[in-house]
Amino acid sequence: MYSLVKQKDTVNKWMERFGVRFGIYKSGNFHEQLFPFDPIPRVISHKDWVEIEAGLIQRVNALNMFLEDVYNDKSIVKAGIIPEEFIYSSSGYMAQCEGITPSKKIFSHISGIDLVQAKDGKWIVLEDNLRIPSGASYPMIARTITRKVSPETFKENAVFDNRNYSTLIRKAMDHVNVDNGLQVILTPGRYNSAYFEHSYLAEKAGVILAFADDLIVENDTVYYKGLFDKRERVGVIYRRISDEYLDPLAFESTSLLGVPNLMRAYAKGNVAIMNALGNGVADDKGIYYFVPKMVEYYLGEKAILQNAPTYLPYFEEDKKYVLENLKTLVIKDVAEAGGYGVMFGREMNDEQLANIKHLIETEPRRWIAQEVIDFIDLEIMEGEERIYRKADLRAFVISEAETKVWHSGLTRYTRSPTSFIVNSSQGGGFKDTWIMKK
Amino acid sequence: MQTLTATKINSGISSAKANRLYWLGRYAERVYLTLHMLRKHFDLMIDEDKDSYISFCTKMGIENKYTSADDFTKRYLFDCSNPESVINMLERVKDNAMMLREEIMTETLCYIELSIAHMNKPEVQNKGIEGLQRITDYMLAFWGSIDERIVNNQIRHSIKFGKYLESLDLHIRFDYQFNRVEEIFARMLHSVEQECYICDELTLLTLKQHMTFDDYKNIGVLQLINSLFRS
Amino acid sequence: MPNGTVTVGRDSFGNLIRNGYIGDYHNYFEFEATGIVEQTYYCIEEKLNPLYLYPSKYTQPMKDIQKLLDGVTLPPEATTLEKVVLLSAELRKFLAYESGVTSIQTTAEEALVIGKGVCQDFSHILIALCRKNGIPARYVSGFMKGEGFTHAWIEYYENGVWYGFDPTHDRCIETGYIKIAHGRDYSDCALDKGVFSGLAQQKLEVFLKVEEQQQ
Repeated sequence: MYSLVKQKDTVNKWMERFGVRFGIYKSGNFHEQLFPFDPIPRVISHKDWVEIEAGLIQRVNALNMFLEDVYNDKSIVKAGIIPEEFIYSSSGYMAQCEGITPSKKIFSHISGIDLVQAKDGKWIVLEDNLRIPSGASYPMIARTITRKVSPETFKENAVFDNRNYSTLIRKAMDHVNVDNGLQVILTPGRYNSAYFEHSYLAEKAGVILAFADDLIVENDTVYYKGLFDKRERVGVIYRRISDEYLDPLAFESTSLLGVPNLMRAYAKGNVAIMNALGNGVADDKGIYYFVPKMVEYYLGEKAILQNAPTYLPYFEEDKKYVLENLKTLVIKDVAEAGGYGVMFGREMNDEQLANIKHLIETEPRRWIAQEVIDFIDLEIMEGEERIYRKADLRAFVISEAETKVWHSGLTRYTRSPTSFIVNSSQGGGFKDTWIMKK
Repeated sequence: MQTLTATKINSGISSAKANRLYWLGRYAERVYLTLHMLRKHFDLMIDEDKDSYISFCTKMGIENKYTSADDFTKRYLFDCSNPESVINMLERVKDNAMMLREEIMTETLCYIELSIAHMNKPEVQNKGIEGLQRITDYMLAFWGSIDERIVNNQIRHSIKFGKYLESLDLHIRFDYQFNRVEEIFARMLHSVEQECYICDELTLLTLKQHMTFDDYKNIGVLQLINSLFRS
Repeated sequence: MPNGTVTVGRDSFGNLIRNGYIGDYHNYFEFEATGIVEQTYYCIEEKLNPLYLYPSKYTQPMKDIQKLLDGVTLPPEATTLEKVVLLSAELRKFLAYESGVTSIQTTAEEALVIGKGVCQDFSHILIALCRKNGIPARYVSGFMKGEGFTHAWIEYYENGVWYGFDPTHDRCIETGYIKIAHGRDYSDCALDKGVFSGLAQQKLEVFLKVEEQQQ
């Protein structure tokens, strides 16, 4: 590993050559920047991995069952496990998806589960991302490069290969493909922050990268518009556009990114969309609290992976606890994402605390509170120096005929020593994630 | 290693994609040939005609807004805010190439990334045209990679059509002899015959009539060339 | 104008949707829908979808709606209709009818802040008030006899039946209203929706006529 660390600059030159970037908007202007890469990998032992893998498969299976249930029978509500209010007032719940069963009954084909490792070694789930989890292409390309730059590192360490991610995606697409149609990745365009990933995955998975204009819906069927008005039937769309922009006739009517009437084709079962629409109801910060209960309800098993200790002010008992212990908790706005709407009680002054107390009392459903987890810091290189920073892990779970976990993951770290929030839109970097074979 | 052999069972080309393929070819060839023409003019500027850059502008069909040969070197080559600069031609190549990554492959796109990174280095900018031999090398590698990696004929010919069309345009502008122009025209016709969808047949017919020793320098021929692509 | 195709389907709220599309170049898009409506007493028997109990996009109860609510006390023994009537009466103290002040994008809260609005705003606010009091309520788009425009009102739910109430005219509906669509709020039941591609100016014209059929 030492030789790899020494080669940091060579690695970064390769990153530049491959155009590994992500886009951000700064004061209204689009910039592309390199995603800072730290050469010291996160290493997960085989023993740890076996447990994480089993836990992730279990969790994602339960989440998929929940999604099918919530848009059909709602037995989990009837059983009194989740209050109906948490479903109907979730911003991710889509009434338009009621009664729709997607191809092969899979809702979340690609799930990004964010985890941290606590100081006692336990892995804890912080968040589920079941809509458009992104970031897998970065460790995939980082591995391609580090193996070139420092082959001896990989001779000495038995690490699972991670360059098969695109194959996993392709298999997931093929599995749900309707009538053996074209497979496309639908991108909002090159000014999207994850455009690099969209185009890279299309290349590596051997599928078409489509822009909204390339697709058309006729007679509730989706076609790719070829030359000479040739229409090619599309069977599966791995879309990288969020639900509300996907179809201007069904949702946001001002959207130029979407395909008119796509929702109708989808509802009729004429095309598979991955991930399914309406998945936001299952990765809502409010629903998160109930995921271990889902595992018990749908699978009859104890959840292998634990959540961070979470309180819902919606329940009187929890509200009381939260209001009394505000100073030690982290408060999250369920409607926000990407590291926004997260507040640490210990950083708030009296006025802010009073303000948040009032909000919790008047709108209890809007907030969740969690204990602050003391998680393991990871080593990163800052110049020639090794320093420690907060880091999380996004594991990618693929659901097709069976549920599989990609043998790697995106490890993101904060660049600022005081920050607890690791998110690429807030200026962090990334590491490769090694899963050891033995 | 488990990787997927990226075999495309289908060949989806939308009209927007055809458009990008064509412009990718044009801009990439424009970068390559502009550097080639520039070297000739820079050579003249040494001891024969110190204002040769002015005639370069005239032939290129751009306004001479430059105050001196030095100003021309700086701004025509490296100035990102100058829409006609070489660095901006490269940015246009990249715009199209990025949208075509899955067709041309990352390995091909790399040469454009490398070119732009190279041109933005201060030490390269200080050297002027001599520092840009590397760009020429990258562009040749780019074309090699296109030939080597793109299996789909329709895709490859569409890019090549743009390439030869640009080449034809520039060779006529820079007063090349008819036999050279005729050769390039033949190569362009070859790519068009493979993929006739891409060009306007009537315009092509007219162009064929005028592509003669007597006529080829007429301004009308350039116009025909530039309206050949059916977008 | 080239001829288009029309397909028919239903949305997830049960509304009938007709869908048309023209692929060739065209300068205008026109459609005409006609029908004969037989009027009966306004009541719809249906199983309750709990969806209509919770705030939606246009009916989020923010500060001003909460304030309005704090000012009303509903007698616990009152019937659902009595409660709706009380809420509607209270609403009229804060909202005056005036067209051109609000738009189709105005939310209940925003309209209340302005203090003026049209049928859409009256309906959104009343829906928010009902739902806050545990009364399921939904938005309805449709027509009234003798009006040149579309109209909007609400339906509230009691014992397995949806009943109509028109907050703009502050009255419960027995007959004389032609319902086209219902949903959580306006966004679920726009009467027409469309997109076109190309560089063009657009101008929308709607002509509506409701008249009694000669026997």
